[in-house]
Amino acid sequence: MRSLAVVTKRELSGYFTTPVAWIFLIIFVALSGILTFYAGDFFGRGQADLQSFFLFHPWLYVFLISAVSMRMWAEERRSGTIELLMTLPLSTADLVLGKFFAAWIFVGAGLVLTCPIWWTVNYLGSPDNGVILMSYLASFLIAGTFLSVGSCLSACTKSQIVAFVLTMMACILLTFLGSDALTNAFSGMATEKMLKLLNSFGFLVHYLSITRGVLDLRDIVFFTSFDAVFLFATVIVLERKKAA
Amino acid sequence: MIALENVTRKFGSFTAVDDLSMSVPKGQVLGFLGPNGAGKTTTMRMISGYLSPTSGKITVCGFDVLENPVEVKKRIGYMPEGAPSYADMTPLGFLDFIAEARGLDGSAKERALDRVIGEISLSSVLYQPIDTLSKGYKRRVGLAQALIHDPDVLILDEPTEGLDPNQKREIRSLIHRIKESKAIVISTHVLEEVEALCSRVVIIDKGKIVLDDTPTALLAMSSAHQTVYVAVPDFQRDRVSALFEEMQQVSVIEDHPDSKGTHLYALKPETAESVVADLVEALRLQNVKICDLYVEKGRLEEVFYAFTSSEKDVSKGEK
Repeated sequence: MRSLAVVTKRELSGYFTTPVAWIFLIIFVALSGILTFYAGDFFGRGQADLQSFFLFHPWLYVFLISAVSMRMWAEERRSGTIELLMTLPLSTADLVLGKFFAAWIFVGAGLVLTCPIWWTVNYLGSPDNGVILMSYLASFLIAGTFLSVGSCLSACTKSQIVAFVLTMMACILLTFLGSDALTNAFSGMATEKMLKLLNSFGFLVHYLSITRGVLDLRDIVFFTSFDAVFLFATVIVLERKKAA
Repeated sequence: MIALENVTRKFGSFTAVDDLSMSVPKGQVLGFLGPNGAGKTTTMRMISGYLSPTSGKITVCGFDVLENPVEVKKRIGYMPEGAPSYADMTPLGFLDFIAEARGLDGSAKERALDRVIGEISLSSVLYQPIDTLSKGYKRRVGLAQALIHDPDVLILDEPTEGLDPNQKREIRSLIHRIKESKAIVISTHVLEEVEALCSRVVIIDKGKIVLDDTPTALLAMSSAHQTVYVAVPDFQRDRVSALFEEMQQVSVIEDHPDSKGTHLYALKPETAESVVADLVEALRLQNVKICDLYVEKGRLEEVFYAFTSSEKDVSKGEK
């Protein structure tokens, strides 16, 4: 536990010593606001809720999370500091989890910074704050899952750009699963059962069901087990690089 | 403290380290030499646990590198090639992180930081981002990182590369101070360093050990070993040449004008015994003024070349 805390602390401080972190936070807060008011037509809907705010989060994350996660391992590998990390008396799992938690906390900080919009909607009307809280949770969960995907792909390469593009593609695919467009594209190739299975992996479906205020334990399990799988895969990728 | 048994490491079909066995006891400073690509860095990476061997067994302080990696890593101080560190951090922040990752806490951590910062003279740059430091300081930060937990085993991959002569000297004296209680492995391309620092030299080429001996023994293998250089005034040249011709113990291998009106002779002794006393005596009898006299200990460069270049020349010829 202690080693995990040490790694998380160092990674977290690593985010804030670079201007990239501040740029990320500013862009995240600004874009989420812009999308809510313009694309989401916050005022036009005439509803005291934040659906138009949370609707765009997965799409924002596709770009922004990929940008956060790309440096996780690729940068360590490029600068050679990975050699330092891997020869410290820490387990690979500590390193992977530490980096993941640091990134997750960092993105969480970005989410916290969007709270003015929560105040705004409370000032304008009386929204269901329980739903909003749940939506924040959903947004945080989906961010974590994207990060775990990014962690794994970043461990595969030395190049941050490659990690960025791969993560973005993977996240787009995962988000799109279960959408009509993708279901139609696959319908010719797969049986009904396989399609159903494929659709059940769609992030958007699970995400939207929480943001509508239906907090199903299964949705939480879905996201966290996805995290576990990809973080475990990260450990395996790193361990394999030792031998190959 | 370090033991390698039949260690082989392959990268795909390329064999970087080939059935290598050696052990390093406490108190020994082992100089690890070899041409670029000989497998030095790969070997050091395997000892430190960054890479795992394809086959063979490595133990450090009795712990197997594969079975007990964390125990091994606790006991090793390792400076990777190029001394990487986090460019955005300050030396203090960086060393603090390493100390914590190595399980140091509270006052023990403070003491370790104070000690290592003093030993490596880092106090003047503690709060500057590592990015902005000179190459010498970056390397010192890398070294400090390896020493912070006072490890039993120290693995340094080219610790003095890129340093100026003063900095090299400091690092050498530091290693001299701490070597008694540790097993130290240093890879280097600076051959003078081996003479100054190491109690044992291992030369590897193509992943195999080609030579394993003390620096003195290595020097003795050099053809220049024990060559005596004598400089005499130019006007006494004829007399000296005649004298050397007569002497049984030596043969002149080289003679040419030296600086400032002197002439320099290089003499190869015929026997293993020292000829210096006889030489001086003979020259004095002839009333020759000795302007300069020194005995060559041998040249590591030459030995290094002899042991690592032969096959390369062949392959070049084929191409």
